[in-house]
Amino acid sequence: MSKIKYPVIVVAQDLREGHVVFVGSQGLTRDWREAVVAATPEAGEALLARARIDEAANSIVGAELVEVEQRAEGIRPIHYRERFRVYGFGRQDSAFTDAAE
Amino acid sequence: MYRYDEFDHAFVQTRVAQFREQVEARLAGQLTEEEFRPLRLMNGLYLQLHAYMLRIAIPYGTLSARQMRQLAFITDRFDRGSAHFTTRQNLQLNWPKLIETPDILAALAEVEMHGIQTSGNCIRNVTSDQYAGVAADEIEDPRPTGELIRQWSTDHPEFSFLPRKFKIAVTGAAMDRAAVAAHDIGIRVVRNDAGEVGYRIYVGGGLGRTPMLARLVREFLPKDDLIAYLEAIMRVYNLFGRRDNKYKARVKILMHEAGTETVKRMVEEEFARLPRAAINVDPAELARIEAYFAPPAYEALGDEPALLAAARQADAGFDAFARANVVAHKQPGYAIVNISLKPIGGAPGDATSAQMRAVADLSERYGFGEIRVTHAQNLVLPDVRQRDLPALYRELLAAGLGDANAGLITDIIACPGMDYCSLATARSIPIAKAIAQRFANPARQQLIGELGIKISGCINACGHHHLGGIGILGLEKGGEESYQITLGGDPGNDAAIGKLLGPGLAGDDVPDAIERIVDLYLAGREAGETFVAAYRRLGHDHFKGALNADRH
Repeated sequence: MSKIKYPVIVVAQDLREGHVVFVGSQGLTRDWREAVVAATPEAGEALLARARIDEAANSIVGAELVEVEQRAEGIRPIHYRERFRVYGFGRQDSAFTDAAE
Repeated sequence: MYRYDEFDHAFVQTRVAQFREQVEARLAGQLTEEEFRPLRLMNGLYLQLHAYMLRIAIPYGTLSARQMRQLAFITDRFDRGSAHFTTRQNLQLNWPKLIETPDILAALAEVEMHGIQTSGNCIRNVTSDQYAGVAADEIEDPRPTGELIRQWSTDHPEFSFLPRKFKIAVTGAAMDRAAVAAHDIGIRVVRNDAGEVGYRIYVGGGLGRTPMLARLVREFLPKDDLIAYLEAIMRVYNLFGRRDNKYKARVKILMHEAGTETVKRMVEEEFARLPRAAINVDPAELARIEAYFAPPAYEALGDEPALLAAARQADAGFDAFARANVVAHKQPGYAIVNISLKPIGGAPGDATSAQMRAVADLSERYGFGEIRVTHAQNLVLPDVRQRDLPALYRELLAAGLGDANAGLITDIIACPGMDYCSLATARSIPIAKAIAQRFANPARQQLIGELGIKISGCINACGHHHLGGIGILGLEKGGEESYQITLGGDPGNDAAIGKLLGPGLAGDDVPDAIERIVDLYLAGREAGETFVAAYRRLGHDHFKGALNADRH
């Protein structure tokens, strides 16, 4: 991956069922609104380290940092691919309107 | 239809048991994800953008009613009530859970199905003509050949770790409906001057980032030598195919870099060295396989019953259906019926469990309980009595399967794209929906006539965009989805790779551009000329202006 720009969240998938999960303040969450946002490289690494514990416990797979921006209504992933993934299937099921809007 | 023998049953059951153990080992932490990934992929289980995806093989696109009902059951029990038929005649479940996948595989094994070799660098599910065995233009049913290849290639120890994936298609008809030129090996059943039936063998076709059409390597191969000759091709590829660069690892690149004549020579030398008698199939075994594909007990009927003509006259919708979706059958009084999985506004190739059950029921009431899956992501009932067509049409309509658009502009092929796929660079399904809605008017579709639009959501080209009369490739450009349009692709006898029309467009602008291309075609075509025929005569530049309003 090219150089990461902050802030970021951690996105992964549940090993047993496959659904997308986020690292939240109370542990893993399926709700992107509860995802912890890391504003610095140090905070990002700490967030990823928490996800690595869940990976090591065989609870999730593929944990990675996803770049986001902070908006009044909440976070918005920078890349459209991650917007589809974070906001969830069906949110993009219209023609070419922004999934976040 | 072919039925598993004891060996087949034992093999599939063993693989189900193995995968159950592998999943348990993964959940217990005895296998890392890195160790587990190739094991799940060997059974067709991917991890996609939102969920796992299970790819189920449908060998040479043939399903029984019983299998279709089981697929419907699995779709309800383990997924969200619908599934997706693909361009490789497979079925994909979009929402299976890892913990339930062993149970899904066990349910598949009950009806002689599996996901083995639907992923990985091995010989994949063999594909064929969806009209195999019933086509009026057929030399010989290609399915026994397909089944022979399935048995030979399944778990073949020498060819389980090839440089890259390997796809084989076989057709027995005069018209290529299996896109054999786009496969690593394309096989055509042919008859030589002496009247003998054999095979014409092509090698090195493939789409993806470097699209190439297969080249002829053997004009006529005696039928008995098929397996030895395929082994010779596979050995040459396995030894000399590149493993240093995955983008140059397909056999098409070997053909391109070494040259057709060199590869042909190496294959023939290997073929001469092989102990053919030991490798080729025992004629008794081939006869056993062929017996499974014997024609069903057709009634002695006449063509074009009066009832049919009257129904066409009385119902314009049925007349349109008969024109677009019904194809000539080799047996008088019978017809081949295409069931469109391309409703306006729907995702191409998707079927609900209720529709799957409906098709299973209809295949028994209006046929011999057999269904075909097409590479165009539709279904086929292969043996319908012509006199039953009006009643069948009414039942299809009731099941939401009566769209009269087979082969027309709204019969769009599209990969799952970024709605599901982790490899995708852009969405495919919303583009397909938007184009279909734009051309929804049935009369307009009929006016335009035969036109294949094919959409891929990334360079891997699962949507066969290179072979579309109009091809659409979704890419990323400047952080947004961008769609390139190609023209002139053709999957058939005069196979051609489409040519890029110009710079990419924003998704919202694609329907307008397609409409301008169609208008240029309609303005320039001669009577009876299809889009691709007109494109070849008019030339690429005739269509250049279609993009001008929409540069992205």
